[in-house]
Amino acid sequence: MQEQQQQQEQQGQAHHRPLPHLPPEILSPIFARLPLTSLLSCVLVSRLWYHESKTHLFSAETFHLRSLRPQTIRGGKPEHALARQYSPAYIAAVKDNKRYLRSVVCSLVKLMDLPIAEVLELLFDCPKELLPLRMDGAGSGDAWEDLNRAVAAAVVAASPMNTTVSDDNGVAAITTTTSSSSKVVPGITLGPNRPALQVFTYDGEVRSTWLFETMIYNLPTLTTLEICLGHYYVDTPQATCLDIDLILDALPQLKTLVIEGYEHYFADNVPSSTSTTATTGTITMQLHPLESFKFTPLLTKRSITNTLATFRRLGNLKSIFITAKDTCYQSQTQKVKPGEFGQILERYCPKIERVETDGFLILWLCRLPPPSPPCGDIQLLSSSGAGAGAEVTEYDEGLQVVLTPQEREDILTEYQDIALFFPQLMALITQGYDVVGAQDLHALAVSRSQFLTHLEIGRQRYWSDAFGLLQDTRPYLASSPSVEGVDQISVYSSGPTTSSEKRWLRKRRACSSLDYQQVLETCSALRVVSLPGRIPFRHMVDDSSDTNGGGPRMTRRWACEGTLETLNVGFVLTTARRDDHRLIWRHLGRLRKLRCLNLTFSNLIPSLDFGISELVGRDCSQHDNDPHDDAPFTGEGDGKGEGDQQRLREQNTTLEKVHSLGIAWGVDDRATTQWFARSFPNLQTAGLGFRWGTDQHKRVQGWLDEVGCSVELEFTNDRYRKK
Amino acid sequence: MTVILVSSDNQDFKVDKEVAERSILIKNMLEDVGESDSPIPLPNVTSAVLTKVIEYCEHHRNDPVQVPEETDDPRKRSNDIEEWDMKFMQVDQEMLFEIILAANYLDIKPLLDVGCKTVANIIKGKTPEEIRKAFNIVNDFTPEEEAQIKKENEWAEDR
Repeated sequence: MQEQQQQQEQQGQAHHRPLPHLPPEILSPIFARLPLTSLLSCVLVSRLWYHESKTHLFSAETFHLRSLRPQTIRGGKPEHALARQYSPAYIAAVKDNKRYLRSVVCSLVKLMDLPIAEVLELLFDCPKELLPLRMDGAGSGDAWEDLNRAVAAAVVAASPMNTTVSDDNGVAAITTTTSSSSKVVPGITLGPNRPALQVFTYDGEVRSTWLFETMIYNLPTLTTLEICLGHYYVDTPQATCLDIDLILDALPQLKTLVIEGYEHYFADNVPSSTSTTATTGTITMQLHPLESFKFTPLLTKRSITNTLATFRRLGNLKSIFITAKDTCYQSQTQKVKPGEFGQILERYCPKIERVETDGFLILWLCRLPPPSPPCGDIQLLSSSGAGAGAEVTEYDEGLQVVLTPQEREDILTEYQDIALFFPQLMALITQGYDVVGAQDLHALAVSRSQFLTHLEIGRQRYWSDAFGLLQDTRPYLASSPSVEGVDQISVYSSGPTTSSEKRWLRKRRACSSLDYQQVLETCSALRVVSLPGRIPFRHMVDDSSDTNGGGPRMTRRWACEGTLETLNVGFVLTTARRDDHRLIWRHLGRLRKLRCLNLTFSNLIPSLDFGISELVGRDCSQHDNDPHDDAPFTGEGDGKGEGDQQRLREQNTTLEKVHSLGIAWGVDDRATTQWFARSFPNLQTAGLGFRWGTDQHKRVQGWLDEVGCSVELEFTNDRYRKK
Repeated sequence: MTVILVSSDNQDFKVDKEVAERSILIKNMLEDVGESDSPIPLPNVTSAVLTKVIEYCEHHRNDPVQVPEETDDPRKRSNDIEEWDMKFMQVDQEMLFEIILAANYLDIKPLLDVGCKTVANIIKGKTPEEIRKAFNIVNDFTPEEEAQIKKENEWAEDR
């Protein structure tokens, strides 16, 4: 007993050996990673921790300045709106410590619901009486108009030529003037307790443009700005103008810019960022640090000259997101064409790693030779109206046949010459209806096969308008080099007849499952893949393994077997042959890092009788060199062989989520259900292919309960049920 | 090309230049002295810690030099540690702190980053007393001060 006590004391002493002292510069980044609840513990640990963590209490949280809907504040005074969102203690704490605020969301849908002075006082620590927003009493009846008039008066009062920066005591006033002669933003007296905001989200009424500009031009420390302008309580909305170049000028540290909504347009003026030096007369250009830019297609509605000039200063861009949910690219009349836009980004934004879209948007990733002219000056291209030199064609059934291995090889070789607009691309995510041509995908797979990590393609749909997006390329045919076996004139007059003629023509066409399959076979770094439609079984089978239909068959290996973590794709089989289904399950089992699986729209049969046990895969650290791993499946597929019995005992510890095992079949037998529960110990959610509340649901739940499995089930009718 | 690093307890470590240059401090030193076989003394790093640091740099020798931008999502701030890094950081707390201090001294931002995330994960969900116990910190507040701080932060109770 005494010995045990001594041992415990020794352990205790060892435990309380003094730990190295972490200096404040290391404590700070640790606290920056903690949520508010943890920080509240940290402030009570010691004096040092109190001083270092206190500032993070406010910087860890996003403060919301949100005007409330009239019905919400019914009966209350507008100035009480803030108090209705936060407790008085919290508001008082924030006001005392607003210098620590780093992130503010300002949502002003109705001006008078949240007194504007309250907002500006918080953002700028500016005494209300010094705000340049005094109403003159002769209101027009429209609060926004009155505000704009007041701001305009302040602008006149302010001297546009005097730019003074306040010191920390906030004594001097700052008058921000921009390099554009068209707009001057009123100065605001900044107080010493003002926050050095890094993140600002402005969701407001479009008529508040002046207010918005007043805010952002006095927030030069911003690194993230999100804007969403809309109309509220207005019968006849009018779009407002955003000057993208002015925003970039005003916010020199901005890294992330998000512009959403549709009640706006972009000023189509010559950007002020280009200046001519007096001595040499040469154009100087300072790159802006912006790295991530989300914008609407409205930006491409500007003239190509000004679009070029804007992007010319964005050479540090790494990520673009074109949001087309509200503003369809097709609805715009004047616009930079997809090929031209790609070439602009290619020329001026070479660091782009991530391209993302939603909604319907034409997006091309490469230039297609030979109909296009040589890669020349973009401005030349635009002035000559040549576009990207390719045509959009309708779905080309002729190219969807299963290619021989040699033909596949030929295509890949051929696409090595195609110039990808985004030479650093690692992620392509298109969530809506898109037109990403098959050629774009092939170019991507060839050029970025070692680097592409994310490929998410939304539903593909060709719209008739898409055909008009590029000019005719026929004029270039005359200067195109001759190709053996291709009658160029005949191809255009009567259409391509051979596959070589079709490939030579290189018309853009919609992606097919074969194109996706080829990307999967080529790209070796893919971690996330989400593809529309379904891959037919015949595209999966390795032709060389199927000897006259009698020999053992294998699926074509994917290059990303060792990297893929998320897979969302469908497989379609036209037979109920057990071996065919088993082949696909086995194929999926080879994805040794798979964590999330979604087989929506598949008709694979999820049953042990059809080889689902192959999904477990194998521990590749032990089986990398196992010749049997690649051996073709030759069994009867009844799941009762010795190998199958062994497979039933194996576990897969990587799979965490199965959203769907397909649309046609669901798990509906005890053996498969309980095998599922046993074989995937880290599975958190499972969509096993049935509706909530059905007898099948009750049966499967009962079988899971028998083995004590608490996995969360997903149902095929979740979408409607959760509404 | 290799360079020789000398730990505070006078142990020599011969490592590839490419690996050593994961440390910005060493990289700058090598650039300053130019081509030289002279060993580089690291008086603030013991041999045990330097062994771990070199192991990390070896594993990440081919990583891009630029560190990925951190996400603004607080929930993800400390949850995105790679599997290998997580195992690498499974050491006793004294070693963990020593690695963090060495990463800070040697200016190896990715390692410092992983270290800070690991400590943040240890703190999460703990009470002040549990944190003090975990990190062997003495409570130097008076009861009155402690009460005052609790009162100061009452605003957070409804958050």
